Amino acid sequence: MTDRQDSADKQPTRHVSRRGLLLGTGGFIGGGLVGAAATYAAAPTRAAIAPDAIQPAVTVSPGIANTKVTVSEPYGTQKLPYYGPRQAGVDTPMQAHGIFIGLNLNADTDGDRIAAMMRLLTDDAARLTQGRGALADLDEELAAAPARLTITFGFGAEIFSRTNSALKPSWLKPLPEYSIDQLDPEYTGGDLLIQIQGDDAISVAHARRMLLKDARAFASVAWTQTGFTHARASHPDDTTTRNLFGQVDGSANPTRGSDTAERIVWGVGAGDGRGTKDLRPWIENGTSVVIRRIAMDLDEWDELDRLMQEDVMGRKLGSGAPLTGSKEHDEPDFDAVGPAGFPVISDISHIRRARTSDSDEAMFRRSFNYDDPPTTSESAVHGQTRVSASGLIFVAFQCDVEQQYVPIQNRLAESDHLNLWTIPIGSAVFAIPPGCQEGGFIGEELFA
Amino acid sequence: MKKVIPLISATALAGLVLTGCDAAAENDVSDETEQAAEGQIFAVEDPWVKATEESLDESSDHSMTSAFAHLTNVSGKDQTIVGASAGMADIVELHEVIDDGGVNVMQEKEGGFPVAADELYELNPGEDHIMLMELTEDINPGDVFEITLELENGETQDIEFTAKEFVGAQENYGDVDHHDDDH
Ligand code: HEM
Ligand SMILES: [Cu+2]
Repeated sequence: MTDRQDSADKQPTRHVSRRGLLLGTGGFIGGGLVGAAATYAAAPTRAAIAPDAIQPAVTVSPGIANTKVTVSEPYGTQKLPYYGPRQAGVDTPMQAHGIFIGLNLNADTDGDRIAAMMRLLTDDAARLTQGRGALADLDEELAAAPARLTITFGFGAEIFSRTNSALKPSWLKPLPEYSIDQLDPEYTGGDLLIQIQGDDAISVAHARRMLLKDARAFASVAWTQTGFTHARASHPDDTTTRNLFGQVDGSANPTRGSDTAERIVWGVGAGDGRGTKDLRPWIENGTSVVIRRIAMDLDEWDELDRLMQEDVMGRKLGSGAPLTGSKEHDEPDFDAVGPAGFPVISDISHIRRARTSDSDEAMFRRSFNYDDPPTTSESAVHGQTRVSASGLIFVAFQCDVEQQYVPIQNRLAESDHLNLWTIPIGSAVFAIPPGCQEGGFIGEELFA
Repeated sequence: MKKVIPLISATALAGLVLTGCDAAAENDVSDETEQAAEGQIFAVEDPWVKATEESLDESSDHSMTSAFAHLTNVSGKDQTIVGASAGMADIVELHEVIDDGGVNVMQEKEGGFPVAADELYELNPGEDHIMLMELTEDINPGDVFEITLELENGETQDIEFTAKEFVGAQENYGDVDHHDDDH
């Protein structure tokens, strides 16, 4: 493991110097494509390792039918704990695939029925995330490779109204209307959120089907968003993912488990001490999520050269470093000025606008990319072109939407250079309830 | 007749890893065998009953349903389940499904369900099951119903079954006319 991590770390260095040698010094390689191939071929430093040597095969039995399925260890077998004080899928590591489903409760789904639904869904989630078929699952083999599957539930205002309105957080409502928005009801609102994420598209798809089959008697699907990041094996674990503009996206996030993350996401502790808000979680170990579907106009983005693209963000495309630094996690220096006296990081750049002096005005972003089919006709919606229909399922967790998220969103809606290439087309806000122990169910606090 | 298969091991019972997987080995076996409390006769895995409030299954019949579980005899002695009772059904029978000239039909199983010591007995859709007839209430998804197994030696075991929406398990009655006439 450590070994492979080493070789992975070294690759970019070799890659860059070799590239400099071959391409940077006058181009004695004929075509760009040839040069690129040579560059990549130069990177491996070790003899090829057989995949089975890295990920040994193990045999598992995913349910009561007791059949045997071969799975790779650890990427296929890895499980994140299900039971615990907090739900997984918030500040746990990001996986390759993410599905977000908004559901609306049926008119006759009352408090008792909501509890019954959440008992069923919790049981499904507890089994599926641990590599087991659901109860009465006829296709349990599809659950055999959990691959860090997480299933996270969120509640809209309606769930509180039908169970325990005293617990409803004051921020649990649609975001303010913004002039940049072109919200489509297809991606907006919802009473219940089911967030399914994992590294294996098959176990993710199976989880979606099992959960929706159990939800069917209580609620109907309002919208579904399917997204992805890098495959787990394609970059070292914990590499910040890239969005489809090519940007490293997530660098300034609070570090998982840090004091800052504890305060920003869970409202626990003083964080870095520079925040001014009175942050209190709506319930201990609960938080909130904002899910915005944001179309990205890749065709128009292509019209910018790379330097311009970097100015819009305030960060470099290659390393993700701020324009005033050289490494991804260098702190941006917003006061630095260039030779002509202008700020190096523009005042309307995305990162300048997305940060205020109040460190409580922050969030934990966990976004997935989407890449829908291009249009094949004259009609095009939401930045769809004949080449692509791409964007971001922007996902942000924070203790308090009103105090932490809205101030930033207000600033970005007012001015953010990036807005020229992005259109918010969906928006939803949910309260994330705490996790539960075995025998309990997600949301049980509403019935206490 | 693959109904009775020997118990392989506790891990196999819980449906977990069989060989060489460290990550999974540390996993809890407990949740699947939780109904195997002290003094119990059967360790019970995945007990569920087919809900009658189906949102999809047009063939759903509100007057009867069936219940399923995997039962491992942990009593140390051979046992035979000879009957069952439940608050939500006036008639409870032990059924088998047989192939009657290419059609699956269910009928009462003569002699009940025999479970030798340490063996696993499977009640599955399309196979042996507990038949619940003349229901006294709706079986809504997510609700939990207690069914009492009655043994030849007079002992009983209560098991909680979770109601699940399920579109399978649509066996016919052996006597098809009997079913039609009833409704
Ligand atoms: C398609 C739309 C968007 C894209 C492509 C995008 C991309 C990025 C990128 C590349 C960064 C810099 C690296 C990083 O820290 O992650 C960033 C930073 C950030 N973005 Fe976005 N973003 C989008 C929308 C939003 C929205 C809607 C919000 C919140 C209202 C937001 C809030 C932030 C914040 C808080 C930062 C960190 C700023 C800092 O403190 O350095 N972004 N975004
Ligand atoms: Cu029957």
